[in-house]
Amino acid sequence: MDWRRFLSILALAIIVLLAIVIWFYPSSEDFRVENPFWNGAKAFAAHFDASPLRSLQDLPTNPEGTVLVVIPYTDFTEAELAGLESYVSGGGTLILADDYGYGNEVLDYLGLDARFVGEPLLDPLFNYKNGWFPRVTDFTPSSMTEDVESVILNHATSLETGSGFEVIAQTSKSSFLDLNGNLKWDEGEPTGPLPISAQASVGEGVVILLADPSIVLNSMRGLEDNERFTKNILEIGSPEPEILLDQSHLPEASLDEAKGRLRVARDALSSPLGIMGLVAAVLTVTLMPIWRRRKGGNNG
Amino acid sequence: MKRLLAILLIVILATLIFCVPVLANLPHVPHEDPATAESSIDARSLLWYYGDVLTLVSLGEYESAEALIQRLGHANISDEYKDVVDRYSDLACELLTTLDNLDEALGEASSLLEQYRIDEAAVRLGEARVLFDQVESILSDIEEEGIEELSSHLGVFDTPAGSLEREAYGSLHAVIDMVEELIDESQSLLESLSGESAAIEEKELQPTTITLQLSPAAAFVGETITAKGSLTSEEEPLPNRSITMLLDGEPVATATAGSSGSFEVQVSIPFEYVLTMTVEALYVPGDDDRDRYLASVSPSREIDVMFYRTELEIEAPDEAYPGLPVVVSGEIASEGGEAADGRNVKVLLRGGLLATLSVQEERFDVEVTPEPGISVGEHTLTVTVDPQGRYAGVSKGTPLNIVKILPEVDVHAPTFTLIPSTIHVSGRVSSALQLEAARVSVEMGGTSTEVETLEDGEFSAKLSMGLDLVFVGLEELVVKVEPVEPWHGPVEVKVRVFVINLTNVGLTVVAAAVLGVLLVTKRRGRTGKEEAPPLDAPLVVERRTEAAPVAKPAVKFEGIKGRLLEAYLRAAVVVEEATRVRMEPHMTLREFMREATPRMHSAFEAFARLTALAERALYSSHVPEAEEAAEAEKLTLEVEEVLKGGLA
Repeated sequence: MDWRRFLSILALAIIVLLAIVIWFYPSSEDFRVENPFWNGAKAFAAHFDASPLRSLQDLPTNPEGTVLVVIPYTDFTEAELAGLESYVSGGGTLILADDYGYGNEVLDYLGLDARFVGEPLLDPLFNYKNGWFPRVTDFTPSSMTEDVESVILNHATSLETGSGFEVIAQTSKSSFLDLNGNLKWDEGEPTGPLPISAQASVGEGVVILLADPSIVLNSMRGLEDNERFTKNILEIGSPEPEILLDQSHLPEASLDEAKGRLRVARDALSSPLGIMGLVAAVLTVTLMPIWRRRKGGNNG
Repeated sequence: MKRLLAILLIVILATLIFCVPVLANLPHVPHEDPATAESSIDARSLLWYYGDVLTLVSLGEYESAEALIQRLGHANISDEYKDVVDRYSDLACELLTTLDNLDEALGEASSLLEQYRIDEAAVRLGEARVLFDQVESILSDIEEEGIEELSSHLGVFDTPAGSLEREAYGSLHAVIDMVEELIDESQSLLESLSGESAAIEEKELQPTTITLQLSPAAAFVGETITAKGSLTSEEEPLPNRSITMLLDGEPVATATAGSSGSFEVQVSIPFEYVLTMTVEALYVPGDDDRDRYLASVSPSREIDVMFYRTELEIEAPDEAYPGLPVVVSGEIASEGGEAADGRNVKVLLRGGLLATLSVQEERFDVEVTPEPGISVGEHTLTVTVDPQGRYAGVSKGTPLNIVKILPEVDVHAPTFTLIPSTIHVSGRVSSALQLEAARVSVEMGGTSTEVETLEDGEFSAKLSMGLDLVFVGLEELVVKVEPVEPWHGPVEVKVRVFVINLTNVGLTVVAAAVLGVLLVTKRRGRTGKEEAPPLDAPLVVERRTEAAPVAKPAVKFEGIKGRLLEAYLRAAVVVEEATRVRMEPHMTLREFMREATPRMHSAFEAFARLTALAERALYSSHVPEAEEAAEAEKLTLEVEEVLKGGLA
């Protein structure tokens, strides 16, 4: 066996092996519905029967009765923002859950008078374990806060809300925004109560802001009344909504990128053109020696 | 081509390998695993919080202060500090309650003194003094047991002077000073009111007496009763004085004493459906009497309040559907007779008003419709009858289970199909309830289509199955029915269809056939190819022109080694012909000999020696000598003789 053939077979074997490993190894990236670890959203997707949305181009044409959860950790294109506006105006419920991401791009585009502050929210007294996990107990009575006594956040921020927004939940008096990052309250740093959730009507739909997307994490879902609060919010527009969890604005590690490419490759191969191309490639590889021999014979 | 393929594969491999590091390497994320997060308590924030509580106390905002203390139940306080924090919280709550009572006692005492009700004021001032002592004691406990002990537990005294913890501790003491100021103010007020009381007493005002009789002693709500009495001072009537009638402590009527000091007034019994009410008559000295008489209150008289209780019985179905009306029946009864005449009835579900009606008869039926968006599950249906006149109101609840009916779906789909083709799926959706234009989606192998049911519930869908990766196998055909009516739930039916993908099967057969042809051709090519012996001896290969079956290359050997090998080759040809064992290109000399041995009979020994000589000449560094070549030729002759003789 010459070295070229050996190298080809070895490379092919490793490619197949790696592809299998990449395909089946669970994602460990934040908020991914395939991620079963503490920072994934697999349990959320399973419990609420939420479908992953790989692209905002795939938003439902009739948004009524649907809920779209967007965790904006990457920026948006103009077309995506227009799609979100159309979705909400058409009667969809948009849950924009952000802390330090690009949520303000959406709010700006929709012309809403609210912003994610983007600074760390700490509550040194009312918390779960430590100040990075503020415990929220101050809720405006509504169907969204029914049977909800406390909600735990995880490295959250707060909201600045203006006209048109109704605050759903706010932090305790002892909470503050740690502007200088020294983990202690200093003169001039905003103190609680600080809003962490609010809602506004846009067209036929509703926009709900959450200043911490962590509430959907596998490790956060079961803490205190987080699940109940999430359920109430998801069901604000319809008792049995179709839930979509946007995966297209999450940080993508190489593993997820590779998974995505494999998925694209699989989809491409599933298409008529792909199948034809695959068959053509197989035929080319198998027929090549005959062609070469004939060519050699003709020459000889 | 091979080189290109190798390079391409290596490039793909390199790309994939790039993905591997992420298995162990996560980018920074703004979250933390709560299960592994470290627990910590912030002493400073707890002291600040208590400071906030006491600040509200010092401002007299007791309710807000109490709410803050109650909220401490949600604070992150470890078991180590729980006892001391609870003790502090209890003390703070006790302080709040006592201060609130003290304020109330002082306020009432002040009001009573204003009205010259000196005896009642004296009682309240006595209560206030006791409360004041309690407040001072509690505050002392808070300072000594609360702040000091708490701060000690929290390690505040271990921190350097000027630390934030010390700052919070100092600030808490400053707030305590504010609370002490509040208590001092209360003390001043107490002393002032005591002085005022003493001043009134010094005036030696004449006491007054007021009597009260009620007629009748029992009355229905809405009726009036007559209150009679007289106002005297030292047995002398006090005419033309204003008397206030109090019903449960609230002024409801005013009378003026006549020339004999007697008075009479009608008091209306309000529509409050309670069993008894208390009536009192109050005399407060007016401007002219303030320096002559003290105030007085009559003995309390109780009046039995009468009304008719309303009985309500309701009947409702156990189950209801969202958006579909149900009938709720009820029966109103009362000992008073016409209990139902014009009564206002409300029907509520989950707190939301479903219907309001005014009933004229005891028995009523009302059709109510649960909201289309109501969640499935058990709810409480409440029927309320408002109070009316002598009839008290009543409210009664009954469980109502909200359910959705699942339509029946009959699917007709082929059990076997060839693709690419169009699959025809039909069926019927039926329900015991009204059902029209349900959305039906049909999906198989990533291809889907959507249709609506006709008036009779029939549907027909065509699924164009294109090319797919599947070859042959069972595929799941999923039919989802989503009715538009809120009382229907979605239904999903799965049918298994055996699929044969003609394209893939055909292409695979073609590819296999091509591969087969290729392999056969290659094998033949190899068989027909003249293979040069692995010789290091110089040789000249003559290409044979005649076709098979003779496939051995004709070679010419030179030198002693050539002589030896030529002898072996000659013998090998004889062995092949005699034994019909072919010396294949992949065979070693020894393998050929082993294959041919059973048929060589007595030529075996000669051919074995010849094979050994040839192997030695070919594969060892030994250079054959002329004797060996001669031996080989002799051995060849022996083989020819035996085998050719045998053949002949």
